Amino acid sequence: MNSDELPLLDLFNRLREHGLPLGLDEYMLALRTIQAGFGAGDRRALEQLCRTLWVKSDDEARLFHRLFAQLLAQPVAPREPAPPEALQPSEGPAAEPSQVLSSEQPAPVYSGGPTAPTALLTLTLETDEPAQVVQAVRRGVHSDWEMGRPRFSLLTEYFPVTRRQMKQSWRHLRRSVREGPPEELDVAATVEKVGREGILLEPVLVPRRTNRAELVLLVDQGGSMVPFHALSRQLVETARRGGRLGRAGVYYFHDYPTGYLYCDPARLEAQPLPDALAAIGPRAAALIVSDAGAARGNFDSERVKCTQEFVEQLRQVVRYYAWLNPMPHTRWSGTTAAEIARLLPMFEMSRHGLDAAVDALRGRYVYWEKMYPWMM
Amino acid sequence: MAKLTTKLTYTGKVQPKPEDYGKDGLYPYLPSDELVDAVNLTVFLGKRPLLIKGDPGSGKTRLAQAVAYELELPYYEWYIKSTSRARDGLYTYDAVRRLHDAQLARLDESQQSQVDNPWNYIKLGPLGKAFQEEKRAVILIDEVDKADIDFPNDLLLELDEQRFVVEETGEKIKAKQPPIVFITSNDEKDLPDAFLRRCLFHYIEFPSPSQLVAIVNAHFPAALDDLVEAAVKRFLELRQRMEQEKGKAGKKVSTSELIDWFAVLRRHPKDRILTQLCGQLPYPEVLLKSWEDHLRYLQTPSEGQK
Repeated sequence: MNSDELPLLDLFNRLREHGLPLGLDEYMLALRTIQAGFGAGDRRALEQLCRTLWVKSDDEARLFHRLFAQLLAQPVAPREPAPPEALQPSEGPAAEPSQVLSSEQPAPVYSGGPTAPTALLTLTLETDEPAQVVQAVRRGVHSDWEMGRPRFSLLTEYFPVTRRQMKQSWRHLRRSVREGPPEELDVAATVEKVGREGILLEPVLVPRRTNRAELVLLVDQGGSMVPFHALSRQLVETARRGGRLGRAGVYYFHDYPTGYLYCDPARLEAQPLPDALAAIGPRAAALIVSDAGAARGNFDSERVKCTQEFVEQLRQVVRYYAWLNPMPHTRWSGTTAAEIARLLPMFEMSRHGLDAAVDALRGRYVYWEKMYPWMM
Repeated sequence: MAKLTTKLTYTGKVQPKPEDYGKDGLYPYLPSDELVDAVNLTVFLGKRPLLIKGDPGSGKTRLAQAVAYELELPYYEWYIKSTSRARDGLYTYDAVRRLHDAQLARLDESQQSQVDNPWNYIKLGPLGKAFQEEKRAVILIDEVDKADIDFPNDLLLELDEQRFVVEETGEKIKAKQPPIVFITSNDEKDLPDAFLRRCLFHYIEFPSPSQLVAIVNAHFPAALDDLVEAAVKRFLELRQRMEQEKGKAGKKVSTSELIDWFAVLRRHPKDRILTQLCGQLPYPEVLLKSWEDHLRYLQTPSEGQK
């Protein structure tokens, strides 16, 4: 089987479009191994080879399986040029390239008139030139990025901030203290001791640095926050497990805390607000996660007032606090959120926003009063 | 399979002799065909480590040694801890001892030569040693996800270029032969993309019933066939119930636990065990590791029994 006749490049590009971390090297690798005789034989062997080379997790494996089945629906006939053959309809119109593509996208309208990749891809049906196919596919990818976001993907990481980025941001929240048994060599002190005593008897050891930064997450749960539950859960999880924080406490509330904070996401285990606030350590930083009414998009003066009261109370117990809003900042203006954003540093949930929030929690000054253009 | 251009080919068929079991951690290892292909791909490519994931107890760690045994290659293992740093795998430099010796050398001139040579204080780690081998070495980097999230990125150069520099002497160490690297991960932390891109990946699936029987037979060559089959059957019933009730998450009984369990079972008279296997799960402490599991899977014997 000649590797040129396989729609491998198509498959590869589709995987890349779905955000798999693949580069040119990985493509060449596949060609090299196929030339060396791996993956030959049947379709299953080829699938397995490509999976071993290109797929890095269970989730990706499922996506890969689906794409592979789509692109290599039928055994490739030896003399037909590859890409059109592979895209030939296998069952009704579903496998027609334009349709295959649009099934990956939320809606054709979304892909936007003139640059629609569908138009480019129909080209592949009419031509046998591999070069044009490459071009068509590449343009397809390009126009995706013009739309600002990679196309809809089935992988779990589709949040504005990935799990890894969250952990990286939490890493910046540090207050390191030497604690525990002495086990790290203090070179400066040892050298000084040798200088003083004239001979090295014993090295000077100091305890390792550990992070004592404390974080309290106050998470709005239920109502308009329902679509963001997965996101806030991931935020809580990364803070608790991957963030290497000294302590990370979590409280939940609905819309704004009124008298009670809850210890569980279902809001069953209540704790009176004064008790909960008293339990927060003096050096803790508080991060509120809520849409502040931006999701519904109305203005609620009652909510502003109650939130203000709560922020006042919070200010009594913690020095640093910030607000993360899962709604994009463009949607705040004119809503309750815009008003609340004037009370305390509020950032949208993005890489930049999360970093800014963590900076604020570390006590750095972040220019938040007019953070976003519309606040001017 | 078409002809391979590499000399080394792993088949998964060569197993240690029963009398060697347990020596240096040697045990029989029965890989699936997919895994054998993935290993051969790793051996062929040389530069790319094979990242292995799978349920706990599915044999991720044992693979590397099995490959080293069959191909008769030197084997190095590097067990990662949460405090591991990338450099530990290459070499460690004992500054304190050198300082100490330098003090003594003032009293005893003959020791001066030892202190002057920094190599007396450098100890090569598993990767460092493997790079020095004349044959291709098999390296196991176990549970890479336990380390700091930046740890894998610190290894990129060493794995890619297969060389490193000993900072203390300025000496460059280059691998004489490209090592065969296996990396296992339990998915406790995400690995960085730049690292993933360079890895080959294989997920070890739970073996089929016939494979399970073969695995138990390989570990206990003297075991009786009907006992093995009854035990595997009972074990699979438990596993299926767990799969139904716990779904994809949750800890399920694994191959390694089956082997442990069978080791207990075969010490008892066969007839008694065969009757016990039909009733309440015998020796549940080997299989059920939480109180919740005890309550759920011990109370009601499963429906699928004989």
